Amino acid sequence: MVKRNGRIGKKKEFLDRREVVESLLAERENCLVVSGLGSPTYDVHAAGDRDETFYLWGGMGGASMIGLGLAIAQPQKNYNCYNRRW
Amino acid sequence: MNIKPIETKNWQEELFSTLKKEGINQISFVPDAGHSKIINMAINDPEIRSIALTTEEEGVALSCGAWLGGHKSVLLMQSSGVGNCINMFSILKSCNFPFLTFVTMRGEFEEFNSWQVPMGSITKPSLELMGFRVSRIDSSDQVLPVTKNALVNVFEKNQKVAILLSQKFIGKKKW
Repeated sequence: MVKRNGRIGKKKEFLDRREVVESLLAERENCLVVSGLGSPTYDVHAAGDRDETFYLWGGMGGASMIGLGLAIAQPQKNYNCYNRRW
Repeated sequence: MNIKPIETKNWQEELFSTLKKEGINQISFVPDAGHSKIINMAINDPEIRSIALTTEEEGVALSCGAWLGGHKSVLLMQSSGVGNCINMFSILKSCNFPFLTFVTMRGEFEEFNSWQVPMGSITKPSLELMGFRVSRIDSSDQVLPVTKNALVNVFEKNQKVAILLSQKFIGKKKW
């Protein structure tokens, strides 16, 4: 049984991805966010669009390494990267 | 009498110091015999962050992040690695990021591994199809002028540049 918003199966048994991402980003502070193409980018945007977010809509698998390059350049910031594992 | 000037530095040292003068902060690589001297110089230099990759495309993404954060990055790879990067190059095109890579060529002069030929033979056109300017180095006197020109094109004109180091120039791989 497949539902909307990435929920697969019964809601009781599975985490709601969009809710999880929203809660992870709820108290972001001094935080740069990078999201991978597809659902991670949609989820991060749904949690609130910010200037501190860099969304990918291509270049699959690149989000974590973009985050690493950024973190090396600006180590004083906190980082949050979202990739989808298939 | 024609006396050749004594070379006090090898081309790898000159190339590395040129990259440092430009302010390159991050050098990413996969292990490679042709790049090994520069890789070791990067690892041993406290002013440069060296990043070992598990696949070359990671270095493309790393370079994008570095640029977003105000750093300059260079990716060192082999011609076969260019094939691994193709889709990740789309970030460079979509976001108009500058990008510089040095590519040691395989599948050319005295290649012993036939499996290196397919990607080695299309490295240049593959890069060009993704919007790169491609330069080729065949001798040590070309290293500095080609590199300096590339640094201007990349970091002042937002271009994507690949510098191919020919297999004849690098020398036959010894085991």
